[in-house]
Amino acid sequence: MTYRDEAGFVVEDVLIPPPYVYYQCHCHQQARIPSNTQTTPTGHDDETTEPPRTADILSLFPISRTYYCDHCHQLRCPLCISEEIACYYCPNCLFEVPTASVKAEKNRCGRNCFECPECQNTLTVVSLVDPAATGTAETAAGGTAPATGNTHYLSCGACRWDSLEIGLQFERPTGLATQLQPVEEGRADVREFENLRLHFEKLLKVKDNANNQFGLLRGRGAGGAGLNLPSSLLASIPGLASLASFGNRSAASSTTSRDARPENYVPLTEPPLSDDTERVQLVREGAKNVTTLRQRMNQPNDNPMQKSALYPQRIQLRTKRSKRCRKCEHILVKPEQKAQSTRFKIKLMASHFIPTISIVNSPLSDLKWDTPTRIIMKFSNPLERRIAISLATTQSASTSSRQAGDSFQAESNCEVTVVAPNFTVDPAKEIWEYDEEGTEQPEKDSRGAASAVGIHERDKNITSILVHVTPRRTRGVASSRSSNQEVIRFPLLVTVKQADEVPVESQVTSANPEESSGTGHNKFEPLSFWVMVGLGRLARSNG
Amino acid sequence: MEPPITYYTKAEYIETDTGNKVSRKSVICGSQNIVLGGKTIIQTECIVRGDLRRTGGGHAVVIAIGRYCLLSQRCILRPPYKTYKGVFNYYPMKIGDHVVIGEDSVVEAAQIGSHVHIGKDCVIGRFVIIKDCCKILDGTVIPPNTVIPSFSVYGGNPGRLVDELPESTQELYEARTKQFYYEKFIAEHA
Repeated sequence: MTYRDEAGFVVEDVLIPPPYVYYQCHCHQQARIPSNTQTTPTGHDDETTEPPRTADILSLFPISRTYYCDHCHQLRCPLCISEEIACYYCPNCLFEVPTASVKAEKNRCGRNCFECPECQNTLTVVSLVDPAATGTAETAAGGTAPATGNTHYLSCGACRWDSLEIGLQFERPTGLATQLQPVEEGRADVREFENLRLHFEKLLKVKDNANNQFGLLRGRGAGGAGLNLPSSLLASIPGLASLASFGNRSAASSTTSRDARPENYVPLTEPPLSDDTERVQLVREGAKNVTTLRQRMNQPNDNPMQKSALYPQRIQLRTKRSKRCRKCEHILVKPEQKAQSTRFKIKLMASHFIPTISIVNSPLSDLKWDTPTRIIMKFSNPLERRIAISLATTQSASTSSRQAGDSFQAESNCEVTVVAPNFTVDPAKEIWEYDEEGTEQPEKDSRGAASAVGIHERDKNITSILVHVTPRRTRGVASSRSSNQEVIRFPLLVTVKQADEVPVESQVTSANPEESSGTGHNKFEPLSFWVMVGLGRLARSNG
Repeated sequence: MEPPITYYTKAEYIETDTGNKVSRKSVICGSQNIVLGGKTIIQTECIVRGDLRRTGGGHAVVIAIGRYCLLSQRCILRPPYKTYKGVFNYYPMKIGDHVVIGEDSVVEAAQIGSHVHIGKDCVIGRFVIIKDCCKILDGTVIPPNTVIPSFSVYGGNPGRLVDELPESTQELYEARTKQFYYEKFIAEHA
């Protein structure tokens, strides 16, 4: 599977299809060099030290996944933000579930939404109208006689599984979860969990009292969390429930050794002994009745081996989350409370603050070993001011950095020459402003062409530059890789500053700078970050 | 990173007043029941079935497509049908703005929100509801009656949630569809 989790990073770098431009977040540097982060408040001096290594690919993100903290003036990636749940909702019926009832409903939809135990697809309620058929089915299932004569069952639109296979049907087509509630509450694992919870609550109360008596201000939060978490986790495994309670209790009693020894936990159900006869039976019958790993894990309470033991699960709730900068606790993303709304009250994405870099021509086919290739990189400026960008490669940056430079040279598999390492990008404007100055466009182009070699094109808020890349074979370092293809990529240090020279068109507004830059981020802090540019794959052996 | 420029022959495409570009090599049935929001591209060999409409009644919109949408080559749009209380009927299909439907995909959804990207070779089942800002990976099969909430990435057969999209999806897809319409879909000078 290409995708890993909601953070959005991809497991193996070979699976990211080049060409790409991935940004490196500062948090990565801080983790590596914890000492000198405090010395420079803006932190932009530190980043020149280390370009991303090939192994760091998991800490690199596309610009769409990165945030920008306008308090710290730094990039924030999914790894260095903290998330808070803003609301819970069911992904199928899209109803918002109040936080209070989420726990009671065990993080699953308490309405009408069920998941197919066979293929995890959503199930639909189907009505059975034939009175004769319902009569026989009813007696087989041992249910109560329906009032109307209609019965309803769940059916899967993908794999054709239906709940009649396991003798499950409903009297009413609505509120299925409440109709199933008595069955669910009667389940051994649910009863055991409830029993465990009661037991630990009692234990906590005793401990709390003891703490209060001895004036120990050991928060209930810490102790409670320590006890609650394992119990809730382990209770889903009936066999381990008693073990877990034992381990926890000993840990708890060691901290409050003056307590009287609390009573032993008595499990309601005995853990089922591993029954070899069942397994032998399964082997004899063949694989067709055996559940897959995914099916088994999807039913965590008993992890059934046989398909006949599978039953539909209520659909798990999803969340909307707000995101904070981990360093300064400022909110980066705050969604609207409504479950169905796709708008955000606060949204500080990196693409609104730093230039978006993309590769214009796809150089996949042009790449050859030891042959220089010209690529065009496009920088688009999201800000309302002209910015100056300076680029540095590992070759040029390593002279200023520490001795690490050599190893990076060894690791990068191409030689990079940025023809125009310093250039400016014009500010972003509203579209109608571009339309107005349509007549003076040719003049602008000529100026762009004259100002520097290596600049391919200037257009609106975009500057395209030329970069020459020569793929070089690495000296046996990366040969341990299984695939015989190599991703041609290179790191690039991007430094963004406000352009010094006053642009011609903004001279008028420069008389009152407060007005022109009154967008909330007046001071434009210089920012520098590494990007990893992946161009394409080259077979290792040929040529 | 950037999609390559697609060149088309000017003679092949009909351009409407609102900027829609519809290929003459596509099959558009019941065009009086189809509404295109403007700046929508329907490419070669697409099939859009506006003729499959509710029985009885007068004029009704069967397929409504928003602005800056792209129906790639050979995709099929067909309104969903079901038999309700013994009567077989087709139901309308609504597609929002900035929606891309990949090549060879078959769509029978009831509703597709805005800023949705459907990959190549997908099958979107009957009465599927796809909310705003979603991505369906290439080759995904979404079974009938599935609801896909916002900011989801679905993939596989049957389609399951595999990832979530970032908050910038809206701007990203908007920029992408606009860029395709203005910069990447260019008439060839014959």
